[in-house]
Amino acid sequence: MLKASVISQRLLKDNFALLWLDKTPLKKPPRPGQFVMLRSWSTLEPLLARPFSIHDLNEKAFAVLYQIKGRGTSLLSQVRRGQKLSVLGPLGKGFPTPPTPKVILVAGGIGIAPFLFAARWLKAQNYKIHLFYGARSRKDLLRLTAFRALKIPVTITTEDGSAGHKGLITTPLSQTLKDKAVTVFACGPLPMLRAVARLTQEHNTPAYLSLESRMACGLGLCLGCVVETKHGYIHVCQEGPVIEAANLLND
Amino acid sequence: MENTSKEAQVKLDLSVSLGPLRLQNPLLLASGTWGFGEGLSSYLDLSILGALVTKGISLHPRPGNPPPRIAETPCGLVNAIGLENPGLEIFKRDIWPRLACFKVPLLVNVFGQNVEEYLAVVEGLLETKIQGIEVNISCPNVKKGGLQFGQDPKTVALLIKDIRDIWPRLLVVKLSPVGPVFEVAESALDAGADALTVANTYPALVVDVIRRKPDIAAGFGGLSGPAIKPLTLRLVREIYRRLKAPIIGCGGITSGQDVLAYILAGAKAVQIGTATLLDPMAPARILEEIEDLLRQIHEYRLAQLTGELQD
Ligand SMILES: Cc1cc2nc3c(=O)[nH]c(=O)nc-3n(C[C@H](O)[C@H](O)[C@H](O)COP(=O)(O)OP(=O)(O)OC[C@H]3O[C@@H](n4cnc5c(N)ncnc54)[C@H](O)[C@@H]3O)c2cc1C
Ligand SMILES: Cc1cc2nc3c(=O)[nH]c(=O)nc-3n(C[C@H](O)[C@H](O)[C@H](O)COP(=O)(O)O)c2cc1C
Ligand code: FES
Repeated sequence: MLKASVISQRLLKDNFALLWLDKTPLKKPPRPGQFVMLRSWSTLEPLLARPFSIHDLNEKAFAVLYQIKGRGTSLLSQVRRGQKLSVLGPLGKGFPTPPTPKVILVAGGIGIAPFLFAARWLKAQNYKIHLFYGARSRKDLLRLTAFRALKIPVTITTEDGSAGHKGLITTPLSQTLKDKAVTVFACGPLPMLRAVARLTQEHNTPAYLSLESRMACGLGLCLGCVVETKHGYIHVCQEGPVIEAANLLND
Repeated sequence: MENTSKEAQVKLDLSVSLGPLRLQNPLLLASGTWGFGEGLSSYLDLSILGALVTKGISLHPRPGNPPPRIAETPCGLVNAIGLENPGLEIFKRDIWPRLACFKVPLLVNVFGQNVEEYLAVVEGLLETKIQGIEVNISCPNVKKGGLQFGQDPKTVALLIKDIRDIWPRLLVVKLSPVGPVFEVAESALDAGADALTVANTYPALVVDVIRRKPDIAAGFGGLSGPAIKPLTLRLVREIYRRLKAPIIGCGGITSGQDVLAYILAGAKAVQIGTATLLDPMAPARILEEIEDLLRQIHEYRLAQLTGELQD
């Protein structure tokens, strides 16, 4: 892996963090939806590096936005400005160039991560964007100021009703799909992705989903990261993480 | 250290012989841990290695196991990939020509569900210019109710003898680290194996206590990585002592120190597996570490160190 300097790290809400890293070690310019493998510990425990979507990008640096979940992400959350960590990337296949002038971004929870970068990229190409953002509760909503600064309309739902509409993000999404020629990009928990796949297929909407799976290498070496699709197993780190919604299995 | 500049000029000899082959150094990439070079070659110059051992190739393509296929454990990785591979024909047509470009000796890891399948793969490989095969015997034998070939010294003797009859190039047998290891090692050598890879992964179980299920869809998996290093190191030592066999050590290597430990215990060469998954540049770093270590201990011919552990 290559070494990247930490430019800044900021803890967000209870258990999230925003980490900016020097982008020199990135092998090529990333595309939204691509990911990096990161490790901030030099010991062999935890053994594996961890995969994270590229959340944001500027001339000098890239960011990851992550939830502090287990050992790897707790260690990662302890690094500070000036320290170095190991990076591999950008990896995998990102989102494609949308076939329609309007794009709907659908985020569930920490699935918001790839979409700030995606939004900047789409805006630069003059796409019209609408963000649909579902979370468990108000305290899980991240980076709203950054999205609003891009003047992107945001529709929010929370499961407990503490912000936006109470309920699931697929409810307002299904209303919008009825009358517009749009492309959908989605990232979030699998049940949400399945619902998005169902809805977009009903409306014949082109849709692309970002999947997760356990990864050892992120580089196509171990064949450990498969998910089953309509065309058999795919290796998420190579043929994904972004796949066409039509390829997702129904259950 | 003093003298570093002077010593740096002394040319190290890392080369090792393996059956009919002479390798430029003792580092091989282990089966199933480097794809077929595509993703890896943008991070690692494969031509610096001693040799490459491919993912297991079977007569017919195999889709592999359902996910999850991997689980992380303390200093270890448990995998049940299920020997996913494109099969012999695609290997010969599409993969071998590409791997030949790397200009490194190539060993094809071979497995089958019965003796006939092993032989069919080996026969097919005769039409290519690969330098050797590594026979994976940690594979369920369908005719013996799924008992692994590698658990039964008699079956191993017959299998390896049949393969030896048709395969004149380098023939390596990759042992399972469990079962009657020494008997199996002896049968493989008696049947004509040029060298032994010691060893494959350790059968293992990871439990998801919330779901009350194995944490890997296939149930059991194989443990690799630093967690197994002392166990496999001991196997290498014992096999070297008892059989004086040419050994390729394989298990948990992540540093130049680890490589020298295996060589001192009795290995002529080693394989790097999980370490490459953790960092695709690890093999290059390990090679540098070996050179630094040799200079530090004033040994200039690596091959002289095999088995030199003082016990
Ligand atoms: C392509 C991809 C992109 C991702 N992008 C982001 C992101 O931008 N922000 C974010 O917060 N999270 C993201 N994740 C999930 C993130 O990788 C996991 O949350 C993280 O690996 C958890 O590590 P841990 O050590 O804290 O947790 P532990 O539970 O201790 O991890 C144990 C093992 O399980 C693996 N694991 C645990 N959760 C997941 C998961 N959801 N997906 C895959 N492997 C997992 C770990 O990598 C590790 O090997 C992404 C996952 C993938 C596959
Ligand atoms: C993901 C993965 C896939 C593997 N696939 C094979 C295989 O196809 N055939 C084989 O003989 N060994 C296979 N192995 C075993 C390795 O080649 C090696 O023997 C083992 O991992 C121990 O070495 P290590 O600790 O350096 O990884 C695999 C190991 C891993 C981790
Ligand atoms: S994570 Fe290793 S092949 Fe995808």
